[in-house]
Amino acid sequence: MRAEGCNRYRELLGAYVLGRLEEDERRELERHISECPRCRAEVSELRSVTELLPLARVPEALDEEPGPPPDLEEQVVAEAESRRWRERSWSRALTAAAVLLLVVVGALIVFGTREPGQPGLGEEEPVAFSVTREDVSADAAVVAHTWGTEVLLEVEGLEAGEVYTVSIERMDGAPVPTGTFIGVRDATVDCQLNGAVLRQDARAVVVMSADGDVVLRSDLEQHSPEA
Amino acid sequence: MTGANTIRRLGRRLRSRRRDTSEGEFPLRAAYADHAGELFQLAFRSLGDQGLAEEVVQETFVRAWRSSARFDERRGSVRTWLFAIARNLIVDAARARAVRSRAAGGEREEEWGVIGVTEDPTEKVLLGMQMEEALKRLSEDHHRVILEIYYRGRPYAEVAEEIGVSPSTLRSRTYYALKSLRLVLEEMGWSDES
Repeated sequence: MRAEGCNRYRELLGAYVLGRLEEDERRELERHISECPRCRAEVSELRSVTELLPLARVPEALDEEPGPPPDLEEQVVAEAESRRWRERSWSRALTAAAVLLLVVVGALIVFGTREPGQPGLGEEEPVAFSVTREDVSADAAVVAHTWGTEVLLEVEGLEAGEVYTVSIERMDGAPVPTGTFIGVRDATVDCQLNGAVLRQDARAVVVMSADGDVVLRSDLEQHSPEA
Repeated sequence: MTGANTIRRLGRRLRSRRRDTSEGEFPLRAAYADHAGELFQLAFRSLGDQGLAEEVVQETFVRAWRSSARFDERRGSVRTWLFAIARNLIVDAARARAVRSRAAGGEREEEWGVIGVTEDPTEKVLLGMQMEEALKRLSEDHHRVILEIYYRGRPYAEVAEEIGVSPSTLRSRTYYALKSLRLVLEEMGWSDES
């Protein structure tokens, strides 16, 4: 009996929560609700929904509501593009400024720390050969680097097919090999070699044949760090 | 020949990959077509000002476009993302306006602290928009009864006659319509707990 009664009341709950029941029906329903926890729970569930109803707008009101103006899309696209462009030119300018700064700082480090009388890092320093065979002509230069010394060598008139070793002689007389090349009779050998000796520790550049004969020797100018 | 072709293919692949990632374009126009209306509605209702609403919509899309690299589709839809950006802009706009009007009103400085707690005007608007969407998803019968009885405030008897049902049927229909409205809202992620 009780469940059946609930069903009858249930169907009034919708009108009740919307405040649309007649006075006598409302009183009767409220009496039932006060005794029936299940209907009470039902009312509170429906109420949390009806509380939100005023927040929504009915279709008629929606029709009157303004929308975005038709030209807003083009404005948005134009603004987005121009702002990205501005950002890009900004970042390009920043990159350029950073590169310039690096160059200036690098140059200050390279040239600013150079001691007087010392060869500048990265500068070609021509060297003269003191021992030369008559038929051999050679031209060379050394370049001081932070990691060692580079030897630039041009030789003509060496024994074709013979292997030659280029070394840098350290202050203590020990030769540090920088590389080897094969002699060519009628053409210039143009090579670039690197040795793990700092320029100020180098005494000479030596080119030897495979037999150990010194073909070319160039005593380097002394660059003491103190000088 | 195959080697050169492989290199050409590789080059093409690398170029297309760069387009997809760093040069990846946020589909600005498509997103605008899908969401500008809703975003404008949110901004307009929250701020009650057409010019401000336009500014919010524009800034939302521009920001989304600029930071699209940060957008991760796996973490949520474009819509959720756009709404999050718009809500922040609306709250900022509401605060800025509050500051301006307080300053214009010449209130004392110590009262300005209240500005910090300006409530988020978008909350209720979003609930309302959610409700409108839920109402649209109801069956024709359920939608109609809520529209006529609640929103238009018409008498049961009149609506019942128009539809061709008894007033008691219409009353029970109101009950079922509200029940399904609750279900639809829950499906949309709404909850009345907490």
